[in-house]
Amino acid sequence: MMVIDLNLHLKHIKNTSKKTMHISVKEIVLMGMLTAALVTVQVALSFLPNIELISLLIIIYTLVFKWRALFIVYAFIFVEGLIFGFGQWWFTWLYIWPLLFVIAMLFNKVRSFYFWAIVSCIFGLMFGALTAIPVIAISGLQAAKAYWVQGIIFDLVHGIGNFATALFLFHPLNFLINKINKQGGKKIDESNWYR
Amino acid sequence: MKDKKNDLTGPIVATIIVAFIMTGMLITFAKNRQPTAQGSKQVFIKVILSEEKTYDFKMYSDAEYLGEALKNSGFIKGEETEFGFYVTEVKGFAADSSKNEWWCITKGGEEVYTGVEQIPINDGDRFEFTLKTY
Repeated sequence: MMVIDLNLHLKHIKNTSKKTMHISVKEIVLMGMLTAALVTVQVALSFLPNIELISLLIIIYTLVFKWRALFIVYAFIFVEGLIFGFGQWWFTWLYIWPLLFVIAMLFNKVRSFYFWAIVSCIFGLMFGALTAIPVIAISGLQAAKAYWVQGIIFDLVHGIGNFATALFLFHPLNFLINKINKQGGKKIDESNWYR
Repeated sequence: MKDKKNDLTGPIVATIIVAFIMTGMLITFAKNRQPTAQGSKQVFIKVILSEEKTYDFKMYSDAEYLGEALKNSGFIKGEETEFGFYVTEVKGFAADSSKNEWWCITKGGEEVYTGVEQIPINDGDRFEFTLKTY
């Protein structure tokens, strides 16, 4: 297997010894395809207001691929900017989706479907507030509050939609992404997962 | 030691927390949303299909002319002709041209001498749309 040494020199969180992170060609291709899947899903469901699978997929990608999922996240954000234009919304996405990645990394040992459904739900509920952060700098706190309040109904739809999609789709998607990640068709061990 | 798989304490607590968050958001929305303002002019419309079938409507508008107010709200539909806007349908009731039906517009029971798009509206005005045959 050909390995391209990107000389990232990133320290692993638990490993104190200096270590160079390797990303194989296979992983680069895989991340590209998973980014494409993320974009496709987002565009396909864009007609439904605030109903999306991005949150769920980013959580699963992070649980499976760990820090490598950050490449997928930023590649996704960049492609979305190319498709829909680099407006104010795009700059908010630069920190919102990586925030979900960070949350997933912090709790990546949790093996409860319901936990991740709740995380996805709360993330959806807070999405409007997170996008209102730049408005504080541009127009002040009152304007940011008005911006957030007018979108609360959409945030509620977003939260409920995220909860429902995570509850029903976490298990099959997690299994699928794990299977894609493994080589040679090894059996996926799901014995640690619970509701 | 509790069986992690069957322990419902965590899911129940998490659900309650999320329910509180959602309730708080709804209350915040209800307390802070901006009230809508009606149009400043109140206009009364009577649609007369026959002596037995009449319908009364009330609408609010800031428009200057009747045609603009009624077209924007979908109250009337019609065609643009060389003589102006010709009303063919009022509140879903279409005039059947094969039966020589047409919509007659009056204001306070009196004839108007302009098309619907040239009829100015003021607060309290009353208009009648009567389905007639010629």
